Amino acid sequence: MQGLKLLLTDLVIDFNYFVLFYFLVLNTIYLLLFLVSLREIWYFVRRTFFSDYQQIMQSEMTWPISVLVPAHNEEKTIVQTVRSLQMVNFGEFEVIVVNDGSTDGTLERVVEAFEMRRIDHVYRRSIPTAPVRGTYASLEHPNLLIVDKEKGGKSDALNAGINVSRFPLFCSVDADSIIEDNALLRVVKPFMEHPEETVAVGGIVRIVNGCEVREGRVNKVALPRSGLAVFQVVEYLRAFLTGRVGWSVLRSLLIISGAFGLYRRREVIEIGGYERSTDTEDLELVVRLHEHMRRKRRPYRIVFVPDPVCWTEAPATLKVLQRQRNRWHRGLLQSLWRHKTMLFNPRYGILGLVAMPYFFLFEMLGPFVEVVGYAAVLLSWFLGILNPGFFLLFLAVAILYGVFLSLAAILLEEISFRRYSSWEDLFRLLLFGVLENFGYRQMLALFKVRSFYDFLRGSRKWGKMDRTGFPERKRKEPVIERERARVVEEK
Amino acid sequence: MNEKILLIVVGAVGLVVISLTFSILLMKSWRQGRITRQRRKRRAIEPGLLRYLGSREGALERFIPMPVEGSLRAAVVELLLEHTSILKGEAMERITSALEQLGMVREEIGRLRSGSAWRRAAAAERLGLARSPLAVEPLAKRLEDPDEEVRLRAGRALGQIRGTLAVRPLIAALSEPSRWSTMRVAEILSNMGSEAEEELIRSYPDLAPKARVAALDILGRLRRPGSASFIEQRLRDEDPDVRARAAHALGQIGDPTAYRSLLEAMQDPEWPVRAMAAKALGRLRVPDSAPALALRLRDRQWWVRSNSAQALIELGETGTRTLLDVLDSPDIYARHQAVLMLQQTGLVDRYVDQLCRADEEATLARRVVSRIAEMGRVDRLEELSRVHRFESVRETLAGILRKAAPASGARA
Repeated sequence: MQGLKLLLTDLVIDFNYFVLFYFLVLNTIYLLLFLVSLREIWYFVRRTFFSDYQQIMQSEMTWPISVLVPAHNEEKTIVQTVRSLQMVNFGEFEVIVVNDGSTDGTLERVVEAFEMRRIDHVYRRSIPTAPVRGTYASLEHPNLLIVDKEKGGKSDALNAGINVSRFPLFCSVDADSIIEDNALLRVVKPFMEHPEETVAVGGIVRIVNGCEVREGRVNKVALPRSGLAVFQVVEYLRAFLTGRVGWSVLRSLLIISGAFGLYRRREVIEIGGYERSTDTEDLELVVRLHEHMRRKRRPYRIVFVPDPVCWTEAPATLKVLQRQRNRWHRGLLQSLWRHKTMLFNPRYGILGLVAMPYFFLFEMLGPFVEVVGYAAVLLSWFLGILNPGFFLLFLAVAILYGVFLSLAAILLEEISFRRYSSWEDLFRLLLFGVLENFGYRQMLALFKVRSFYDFLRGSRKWGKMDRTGFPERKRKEPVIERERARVVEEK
Repeated sequence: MNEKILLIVVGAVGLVVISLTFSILLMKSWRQGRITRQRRKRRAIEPGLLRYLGSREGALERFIPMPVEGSLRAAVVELLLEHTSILKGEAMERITSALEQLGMVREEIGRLRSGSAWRRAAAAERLGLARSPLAVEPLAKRLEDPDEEVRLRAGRALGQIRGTLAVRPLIAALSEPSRWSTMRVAEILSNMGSEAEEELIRSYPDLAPKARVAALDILGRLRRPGSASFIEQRLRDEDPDVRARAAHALGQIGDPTAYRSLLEAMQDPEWPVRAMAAKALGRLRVPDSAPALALRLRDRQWWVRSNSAQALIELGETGTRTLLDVLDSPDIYARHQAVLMLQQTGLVDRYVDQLCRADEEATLARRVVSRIAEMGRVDRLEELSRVHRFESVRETLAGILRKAAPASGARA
């Protein structure tokens, strides 16, 4: 018994040292990413001081875009999403809604709202997909197309959309999302700046809960009332403004959010389109693009631009949040396992030597280490080797560092885009940036640990996302705008 | 010892967190304060300024109390610059004169010599908005700036002031590797009119291949018939990109005499050239091009077939007749493309509407609908057989579909 206790004590002490080292390395990486992001965002804000988007819109040299909207049971939001897409500022684009075997009124809603009619579409089936039941077009909206197909999952729907799309670039947009008017102009810019090399560009995803939406447009930005959603706002700011900006600068961006990403069609077809056997098709696609381009030794760029905004609905309940995070983490596990040969592989440069190991050791195993760490504390206490002073100080450092990272993301938001303009929203962001370290983060870690189990079990549950739809309100025209309009009219 | 280190770390990180919080709050408070002050100032001066812009005469001091200095002056300048995008003509001249009077133009000319490239670019941009002729010379000097952004901004500003000094350097800038730069240069040159056209044609032989493509694009956007013959010659260039862009530019210019050259381009071995030629023929709307376009509905490339079908629709009556003839073509791609085009333009629905009439049009409608049904392209027809507003049409259509069912299996 004494021997076992000694062994356990040694193990726990060793593990504690490991956690200390792990914590130091992880936070150093976070700090470096923040610094890289700070510099990049500062530079980006200066660079985009002049908005030349009018030129992109008017130029015939701008590549046209096919916007793909995979939809499965999205009857609450689909019409508004399509309407907002129809209104975006861009020269030449088409919107392709792919109805992926919905069992609600998704198809009927769009057909009715946009006076769609069935057509016998002609296209090349470059990527195999589940059978297409029909395509619909509209005389009133010539750039809108619906593909109605049997259920095959989001990847399959996107592949069907790619098959039907006509243009060299395609943009994937979630059916529960709204992209801002200039989002396409902003996201296409890297393709125009480096036309030969750019293969994919991601934009920032923000949370629409709490915002005022009018006719498919986000009219007023505000934080949601629900605490759970505010936690997610802080989390998204951290993930996008520090994480993705930083990895993009290092040319190692591993994920472009499925809610909003722009890709060159040719390369995506070359790799066989979206992979259907993973739970996070967006991550898998980007990793495969990296792998493909490196293998072919073709110069390429996969970048993140923090400016083009896509608004999406965040889970409003713990149950839905759990499903979402479980799927995300399961997808990460699947992709990292599938591409394990890229790990520590110098052939993939920084991607193979830094980004992949980071995602493997910290993003994938991090929650596991965290949860085991909590267990180790209990065990240490049980074994009588817990140094309460040291433990509390370490906990304080960990929490303060977590708070620092959240505040750093809020700082980045404040020096750049400042979407949340009211004092109340800022105070709430700061408050939730602190509070998330007391329960929310630990809860997410547990969700992710649970996903290990589901991954090993081979579970492929997508999980139902309950939609509430976008809240709508009317707006008054400001007096000064009317006065200005009058002067212009008189001229 | 370890605890001491940790205590120091806790203190340090805590300090950083507190300073970060205060920085965020101070930053916001400073910004909000500035915005509030600016708004107040704008509210005070905007009515007077709008009256100044709205009137035909009278100096600035008649409308706002002069001299304006400091942040009030900055607010006036910003307001004037904001109006440059929505006003033109006499009102724009009044903006320029006001900006000169306020010393903004002089100040920005000074900033063109700044050590920071970003400041120089910003100054060039603002001078372009101000449209002051005083800025022409200093801006022209910036066309040699080591920074690409400054060169482009200066060129654009010169274009806005209608200075032609920028034409040559801008044409040289067409060779910059970035498509983004090329687009911006193209936009500037496209607004310069005949000077740009002449210089583009003159310097074309000396341009790099990529710049030649951009030059043709600009010539197309200038839409000057005088350059059509020069562009037609480019249809015989060795570079397929040049040929494709030349075909596109001819479509943009819209000179119908170019249609014979475009018909030749429809035989080009490179499909992008054929696709662009088909699109251009649609823009020219010369009925004689219908047979060549119909032939291209059999092209191996989807884009050529699609553009040809679209072009046939653009031709109007002749094009529609040609598309109907294509329904009897032995080529399956051509037939399917024709059906798609007839569906997308609503013609199939129109023929279905006419099915039960007792005239010649009904005969034609019945022939077209039966032919489409035999080809098995029945998605729209089946839908109409269920939802058409007239029962007689629904029944007739259902009959045609029943009759065609065995044939469609064999022939589609």
